[in-house]
Amino acid sequence: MDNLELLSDYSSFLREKKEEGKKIIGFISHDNIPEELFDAAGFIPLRLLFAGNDEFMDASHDYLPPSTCAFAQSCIGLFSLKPNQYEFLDLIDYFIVSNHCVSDICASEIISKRFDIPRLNFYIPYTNNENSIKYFKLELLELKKQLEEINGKEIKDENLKESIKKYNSFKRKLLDFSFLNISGSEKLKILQKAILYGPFFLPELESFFEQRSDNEIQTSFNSKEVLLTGGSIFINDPLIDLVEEGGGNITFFDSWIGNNYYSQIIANDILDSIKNPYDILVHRFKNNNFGDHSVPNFLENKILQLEKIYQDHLKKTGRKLGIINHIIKFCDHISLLSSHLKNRLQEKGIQVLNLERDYSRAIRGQLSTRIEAFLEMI
Amino acid sequence: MSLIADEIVRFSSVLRISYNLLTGRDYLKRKKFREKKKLISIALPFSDLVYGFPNLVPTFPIRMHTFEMHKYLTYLGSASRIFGWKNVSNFLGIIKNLNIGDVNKIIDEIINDVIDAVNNKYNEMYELGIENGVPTDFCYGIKSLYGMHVSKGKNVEANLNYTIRCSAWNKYLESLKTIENPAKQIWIDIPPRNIGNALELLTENLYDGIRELEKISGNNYDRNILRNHFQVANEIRNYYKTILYDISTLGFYPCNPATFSEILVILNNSFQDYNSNAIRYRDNMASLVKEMKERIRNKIGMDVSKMPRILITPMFGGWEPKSHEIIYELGGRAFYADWDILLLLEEIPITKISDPVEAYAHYLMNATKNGIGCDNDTLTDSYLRLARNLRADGLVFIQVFGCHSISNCYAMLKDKLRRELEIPSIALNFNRIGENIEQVKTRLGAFMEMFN
Amino acid sequence: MKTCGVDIGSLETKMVLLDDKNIMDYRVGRSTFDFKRVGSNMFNELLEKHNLRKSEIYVMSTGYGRNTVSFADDRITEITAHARGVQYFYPEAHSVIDIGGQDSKAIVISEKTRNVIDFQMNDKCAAGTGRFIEVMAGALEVPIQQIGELALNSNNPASISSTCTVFAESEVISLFARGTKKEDIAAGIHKSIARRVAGMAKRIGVAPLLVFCGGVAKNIAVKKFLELELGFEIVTPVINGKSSAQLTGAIGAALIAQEQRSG
Repeated sequence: MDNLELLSDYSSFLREKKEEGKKIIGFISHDNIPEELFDAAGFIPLRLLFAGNDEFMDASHDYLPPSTCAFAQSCIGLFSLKPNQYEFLDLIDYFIVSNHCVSDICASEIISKRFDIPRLNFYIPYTNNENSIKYFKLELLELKKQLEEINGKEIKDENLKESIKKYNSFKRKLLDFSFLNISGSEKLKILQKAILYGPFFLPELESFFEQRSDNEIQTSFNSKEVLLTGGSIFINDPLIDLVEEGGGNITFFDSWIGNNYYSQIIANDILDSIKNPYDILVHRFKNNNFGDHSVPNFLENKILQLEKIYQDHLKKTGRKLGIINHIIKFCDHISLLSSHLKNRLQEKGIQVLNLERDYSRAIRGQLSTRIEAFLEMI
Repeated sequence: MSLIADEIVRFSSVLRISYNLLTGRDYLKRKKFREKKKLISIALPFSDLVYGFPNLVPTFPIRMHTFEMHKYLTYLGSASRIFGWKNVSNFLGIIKNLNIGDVNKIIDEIINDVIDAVNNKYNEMYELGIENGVPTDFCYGIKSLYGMHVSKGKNVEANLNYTIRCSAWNKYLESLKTIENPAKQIWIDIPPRNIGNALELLTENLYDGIRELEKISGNNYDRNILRNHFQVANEIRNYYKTILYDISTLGFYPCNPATFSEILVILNNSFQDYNSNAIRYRDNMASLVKEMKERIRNKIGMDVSKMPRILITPMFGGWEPKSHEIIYELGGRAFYADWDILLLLEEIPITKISDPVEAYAHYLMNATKNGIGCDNDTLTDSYLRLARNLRADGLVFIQVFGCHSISNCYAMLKDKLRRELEIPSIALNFNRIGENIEQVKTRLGAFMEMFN
Repeated sequence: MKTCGVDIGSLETKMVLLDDKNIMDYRVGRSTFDFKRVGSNMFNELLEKHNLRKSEIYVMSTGYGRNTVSFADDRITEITAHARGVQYFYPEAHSVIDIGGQDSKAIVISEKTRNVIDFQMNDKCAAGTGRFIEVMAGALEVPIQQIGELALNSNNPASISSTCTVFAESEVISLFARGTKKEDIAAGIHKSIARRVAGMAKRIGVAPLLVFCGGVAKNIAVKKFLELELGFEIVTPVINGKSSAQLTGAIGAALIAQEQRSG
């Protein structure tokens, strides 16, 4: 069921910002969009983090064939149907067309063109060799130029640096939060909200920490522990309920809504030593080893990362983690390498479920069976 | 009987190109084992850089396979080495004109299935790709390519990989590392847009690629060799464009239109690696253009002026090869011109830019900006340009299941075709060659009725 | 100790009553749209027949409708249930293929632990399931019980290349219209389903001894074509000379219940 309270609050938040004269930039949420630059320019970033459903996917077929990433389909459907609770989409002033994947290009382009939202471009290179890093900086500077043209004023370096620090502290806090011993659904709810609001959510996050230390409640779970990798569980997706109903608990979110976001913390010495704030963002891009966009070492990096998390967890708790590789139907990045990821990790004795799905209600029963059977295995 | 068999024997150049396409395995074995050359795998028309090294041979991986080829084509290959292809072709033409039943049948069978042979192999590779872990969600092209590498990838020293906008393609290239004993991977990252000094960065990336090729070759890069190859590559492109723009738009064809379509299919396949020998390919293309023009001049061929011109595209990710036969039977003529839509038939600007690598960077950047790597708005404009230049009356769009890139532009393209060119279009769903033929027939039937 | 395995499939409900490891009784009936009622009626019938009270039986539900069984003490997925159930017949089983009305599954059993080590299910498309055969039997106007035997009469299976049920149906109709023999079309249909399921099964490394179960396992042509596609012989469970391929889920659930109860 939709989290109407979150959507309604978020709508009010955006209206308030709009009344303050802020402009809103929408984009398909991926881990290489420099939201600090929007913040420094005085814009409010709106990450599309909303899960799909049958109606959204169907509505997108006016623009795209059904064999397109189910999340991209849903993003288009969201704009096409724009249900009441998503009215805040009308507040978007600009939309970013980016190339995290080709579905990102196509969906963003359609959203901009068909729903009359002026377009901004931000393209990222596919590898992260030396020249690609240089190219990434060109794109940053191009984006800066586009934002400055809109605003009619320069984005000062010190402002950008401040924004980078602000987001950095926020991500540190989220990283701390990710280690809390709370149920996966509770954790996810807060992560979703945090990434949707960005650093505006920091006071609420801090108060959550305070409340917890006041009560010092340590919950113990009998459920089987699961690491979720691959596609995010977006806002209003019932997937986490299926995992918990099946007797599992997601303790680690290795996805955009999760580790991919808050692990991109820039070390203090880097913040101090690199003077040019664009170079700091470049540095971060270069070190984004676990993002799924880049080639050719994504698979190797991901296997190493997952194995490390698994072993650390085993050492710390004595318990095995099961890995659910969440594959949104027709996702190029996660799907194509999924069988190799699974085989390689299983060779190391780590159980992996490649859970492929779209957002249709009809497959809910089958999803439950897959998840429960997997949990029975571990 | 294949339509191509009916007339193709009269084009010795097509006979040669087909023969070279289907007998790639023997040729490549000779190069690798007897001449000690090294094979570099490529896909899409990205072979040019490899030609900068005479001891490296680019190959589109399916060509390392043995194709089901009529035994007489093998005999003809032997005969051609003694008498020359021209004489063999003339001889076949004479025999065919005698109209002796059994002999005629054999001739028909000679190149019967040039395309079917390639496509049967594609289907085999498609199954192999799935068996080896490519999820069913991906397009026919990627599944088949992965199958080709699983089965024959061990024969190549390296894969030369260019990144493009299709993320499935880029990830597919990464997935080649998962194959047992994988070949070395050489990556050339094409910047997504031409901003700032992106061209310089691309030139540097190409030089990095060249350094990797140098290591494999053992020889130093020689700019003159590459420049000379680009000269040949440009001639090939010009011949290809002559066929597309000058000949295919005529009201009189040098053969029946289905044969003409099949020639375009063979060119589409073989252009990717120039059948591993660019000079031989250039010469064949020159003969092909000459033979076509001669026939037209001598009024040998067919009046097609009343037949609607149908552009079928894209086909490189997988397409139903019976489509042009069906269109022909329904009174139309079909064209294939994918490489031009993607801007890969443009000249490499070596006359304007002295450094051939830099010139190649310009060529690739242009294709990225306006063709193979761009967004749908620009890509659909490229379709429109071609449809306009070829004076297409209609467009058949192949909506490949699992294609998340080109297929996504159809809604926009359909709209632009109707609005700007006022020509109809139709989408045909495609999953695997030979699947849904009945549906293809029904849809094309209804579509072609629009031109009556 | 008495346990009951209740397997509520999309088409049929299966129930097995075990006394220790011995099958006391079993039932198979249509699931209809009212899973709940069919399940409890069947269960009450068993209780009555054997003069038992619910409190004397530990019930384990499984299958598509496992969550609807109000009288179940616990539940388990059909994947785990089938993997356990086939070992009742073949203790050394390595793999399982289960083709039911709505799903098809391939399962690999660990040699060491005898538990599931990997599994794969069909995507939401109906090709590769019992539903595919049902639709095709309808198109051919052949009773579903007879289509397998009809297919075995063919010497020249037609090529059904469509993987989509809807497209395949129109392909079958057009083959029919072209005068292709019914048995050849039927063989083509079975070959097509076998190819799809075998492709899925090969991806997780199935090997002999492979037990074929589920309602579709009663169809001899699917078994034959599966063997051809896989390249080895497969077996189906039999009780008293009668196919019990449908019962492995329920048997597995009942066995797991026994194991759980005996700690």
